[in-house]
Amino acid sequence: MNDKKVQSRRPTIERGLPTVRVYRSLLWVLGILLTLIALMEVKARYDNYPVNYPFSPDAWVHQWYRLDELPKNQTLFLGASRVRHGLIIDQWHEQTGNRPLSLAWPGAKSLPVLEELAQRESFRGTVICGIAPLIVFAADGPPWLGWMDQNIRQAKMKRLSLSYHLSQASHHFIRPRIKMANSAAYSPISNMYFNFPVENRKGLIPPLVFRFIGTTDAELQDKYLESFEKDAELKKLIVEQLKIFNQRQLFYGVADFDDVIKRYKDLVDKIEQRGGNVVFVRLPSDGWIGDFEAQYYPREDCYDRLIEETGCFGVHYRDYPVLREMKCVEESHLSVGDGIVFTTELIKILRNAGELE
Amino acid sequence: MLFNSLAFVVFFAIVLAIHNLPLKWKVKKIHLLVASYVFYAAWNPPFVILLWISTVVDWFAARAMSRAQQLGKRRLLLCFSLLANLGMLSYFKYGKLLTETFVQIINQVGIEYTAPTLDIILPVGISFYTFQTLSYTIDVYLKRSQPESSFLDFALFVTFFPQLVAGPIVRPHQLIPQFKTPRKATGQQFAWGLFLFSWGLFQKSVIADGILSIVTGDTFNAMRHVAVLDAWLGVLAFSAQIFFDFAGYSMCAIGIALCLGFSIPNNFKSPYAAVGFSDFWKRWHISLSEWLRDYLYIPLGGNRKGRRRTYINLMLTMLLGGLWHGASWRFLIWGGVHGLYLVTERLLKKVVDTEKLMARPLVPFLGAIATFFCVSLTWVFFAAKDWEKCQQMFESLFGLAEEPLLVVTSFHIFMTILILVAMLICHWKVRDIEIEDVADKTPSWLFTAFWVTILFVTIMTGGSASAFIYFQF
Repeated sequence: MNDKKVQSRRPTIERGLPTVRVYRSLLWVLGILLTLIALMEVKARYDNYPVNYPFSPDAWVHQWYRLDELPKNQTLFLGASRVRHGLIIDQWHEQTGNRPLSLAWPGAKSLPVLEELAQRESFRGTVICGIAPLIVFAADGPPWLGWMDQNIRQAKMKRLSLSYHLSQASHHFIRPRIKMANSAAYSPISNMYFNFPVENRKGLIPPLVFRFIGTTDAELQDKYLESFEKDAELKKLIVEQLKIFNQRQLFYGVADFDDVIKRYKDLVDKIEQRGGNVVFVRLPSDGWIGDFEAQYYPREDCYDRLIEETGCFGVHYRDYPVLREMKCVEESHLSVGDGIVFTTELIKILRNAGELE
Repeated sequence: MLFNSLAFVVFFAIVLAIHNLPLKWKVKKIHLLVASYVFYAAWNPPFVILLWISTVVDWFAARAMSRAQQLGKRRLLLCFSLLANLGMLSYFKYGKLLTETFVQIINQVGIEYTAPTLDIILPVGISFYTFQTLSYTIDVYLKRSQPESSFLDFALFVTFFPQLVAGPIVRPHQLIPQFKTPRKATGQQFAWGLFLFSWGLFQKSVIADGILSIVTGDTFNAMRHVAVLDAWLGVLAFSAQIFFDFAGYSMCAIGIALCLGFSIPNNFKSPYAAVGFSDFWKRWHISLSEWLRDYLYIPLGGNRKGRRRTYINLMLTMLLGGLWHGASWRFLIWGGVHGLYLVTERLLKKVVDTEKLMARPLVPFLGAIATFFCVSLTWVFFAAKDWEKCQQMFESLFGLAEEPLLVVTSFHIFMTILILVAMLICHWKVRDIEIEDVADKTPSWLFTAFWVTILFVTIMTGGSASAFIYFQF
């Protein structure tokens, strides 16, 4: 730190500029860039690139705000990624005439949203709440389990945020129209990462870097790409990543099941007292993930107790022959085709049980 | 509103178009002021009131100060301004920390007390604009400058959107005179401003967010200790990440202002080529270190009151500078370590003939590398989310962990090393020259190719717009 005397008459600053003619370069830059973008757009259209929205809390916040304008008896989908893959909004709409609103978020617990809904005096709708045991009954600690709290915080902060509303409007305008704006598949860094020729060290816990294997639409519907569903090697890789993900989570242990169930019960009671309805749905999992869940979050200690103590109607895939036969794409999530079948069956089951008109 | 968002591109295009219309200069300034409020309100509208309070309080305090004859009255007015500005800063930024610390202390004494939960949202950029307005009132109090005669110009000085939320912290004499005469960017200024904006965006979106944040995230968020290599990569990657993030923002701010025809001073000058810590602080976040020098260190007595007092002044300045960065005692420690570095450097200069030493080949370069490593170690206090993580990281760095985790992939090891080496070489090569000189020395075709590449990669990398690290300060 210099002990320099502050001058009383100090000059204003004027930035120096390069002597080379930068504006000439600018013209070239604009020309080349526009050409490159046009070429990328042609390629994206040739590849029939699907519309894909970024994984950002803003997308969830957008859905949450939509709830204000929807009827009080709106049907909601809550849960984690299994709900986003396995419950198909279009199918539900076609079969029931009502379009559900999804508030599901990957890797995140649904309890915080249920708490918000319980406090929302106007809500009288039906909540289809996905129960992924390895998330609902996991101990707090891993960052992803707190993502829903983050979404809710953002929703409270952004109601008046002009930049949020502007960026949402621009996303919803641009993404369906300009294919290359859905750039996940063409990201240079992502492509370099997944094609890097050097093997990783043995025993490495790889970071959660999202690979372009599926799309997310504006309504938070996730769909795996057909190419991924057919790619055995890639599926194996994702299963490995899911394994690591879940083992990492186990480091924090499992939650106090009694406490989790009690919290659900309190919230369900509040919603039902106002005329709302909550249905719990256990979507399929299999292979290593299925065994992992059975070992650490046994059905009789988690799901069955949840249904019994809350008094809610529950649909466990294992209790229905058609659902039991379903195989996940990568041990944890359904394909689009199976998602349609699952949704159709679920509607039938709920209608038969009088849970759905 | 984030510079790296689509919303900003739309906003800036509109602002540029209006600014270039054939309107009166006063109308253009009103437009810039309104645009600046919209820019700030876009994040959280109610907090614009804080900006207004700051503007009005300092405007009237400075004018009253210049009219007051008695020193006592001038002091009272200064205190009023300080209280209003620092009061808001303390409440919003340090309220929670102070409450928690108070509760901890009285619980330690044996008194059981639970404070009500404070759910305070930190107004973005409050530390930056508070320091900016304070410099105005302090300058008027010290009679270094006259109070501004135009409220519009003063309000625009406090609010000017390119540097409002994350600096550079501009002084009144640097910006207010620019509002006196009509300004419109020339073709050269506009093009150069766009280049600086593109380069800043690339640094932020591609290097900091796209690559380095993954390494720092995985090492600093690991469940337990990480391996030595991973720990060092994480710490060094954070050094680079915070540089590219913050220098990227400053670069964007300078570029945006230039597109409108205004000049904002540099905030960084190859900081990782600094040889020694006082050199580092002349290169890193220059506007803050100059502010601390002029409004804290020198008023405390600087180096004019003997050696011991100089060291105390240095420590105090750096401790407060640390706390400016955030409401956590970790930032205080970070500032304290930097204070100790500066004191040690002064002590060393007493016993070692540094000029002679620096004349030897390779010594300055090795000195820069050593400075970089020492500075990097202090970033642990920034990047770790709590004390436990700080301890874990330091234990990991020095191989004191049992069964550490491996978390950095081969790709990220390669990319981090590549970025670090490139960054250090570039900083060293251009340590005493400006970016404009580099552009002049670069063949035109290469400059164009570079510009196209960074813009194209930035667009293709896309992703969600994440906030700049320095926004939280």
